[in-house]
Amino acid sequence: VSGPTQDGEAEERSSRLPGQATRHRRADERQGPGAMGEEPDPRLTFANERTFLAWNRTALGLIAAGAAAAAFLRSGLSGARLVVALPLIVLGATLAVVSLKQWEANEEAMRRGEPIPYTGLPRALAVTIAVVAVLCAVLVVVDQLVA
Amino acid sequence: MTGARRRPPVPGGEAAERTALAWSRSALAVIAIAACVAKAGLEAREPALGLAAAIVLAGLAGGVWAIGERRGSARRAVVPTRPPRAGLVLLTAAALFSAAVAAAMAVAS
Repeated sequence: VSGPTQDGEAEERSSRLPGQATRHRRADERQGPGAMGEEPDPRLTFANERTFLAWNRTALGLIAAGAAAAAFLRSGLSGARLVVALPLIVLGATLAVVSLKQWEANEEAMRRGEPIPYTGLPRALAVTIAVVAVLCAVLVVVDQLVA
Repeated sequence: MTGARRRPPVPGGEAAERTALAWSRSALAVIAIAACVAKAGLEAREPALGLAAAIVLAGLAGGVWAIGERRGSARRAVVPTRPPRAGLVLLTAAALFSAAVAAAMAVAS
């Protein structure tokens, strides 16, 4: 999509000196996606922000679940707690960072009038939780057999 | 009907309110993790370490809460504020710090 404002921005960009362009680009990067393109519908901006917050709460929930597994899981197998706890904590930390990148990408796409980029976050979350669930089931069975 | 004057509706006002509530829920989640870290520190007989981590997390939660309050004030403004990138980075930092503390506790226990 190329509106009049974007054409104007392109002209402004092309008229800048090379050093100026670099300085402006760096300033845009510092200010984040809020400094580029056109202001989208405020409802979309807020919805994108809420999506980020929901992913971040999911990340915090995973980290808390990992910490709880480390603190309360009792097993005869050494290292069993770490096998369950660490993937949850690592997934939580990864989700926190990836959701920030996703928010930036969405914001940028909305401001440029482009389609929202595909995200693999739900798939990654589902696969990891399934793997941890299988691990937990295996641990329960093995623990019963050993006992 | 009293004939009281009504304010004109602000575009995106309800969205701003829902977003402010989402920020508040996120701050509460960070506070809950801070409480868990403090408790885990006590149980691991490392109260100073647990308390220090909990205080850092509580400070981050306070920052997240303040950003939510400011975000909620956008519903009273005609033009919404720009997305608070610093706030989003702060919340991500809180999650990463929580993950580091949780991983350290998991390995140490």
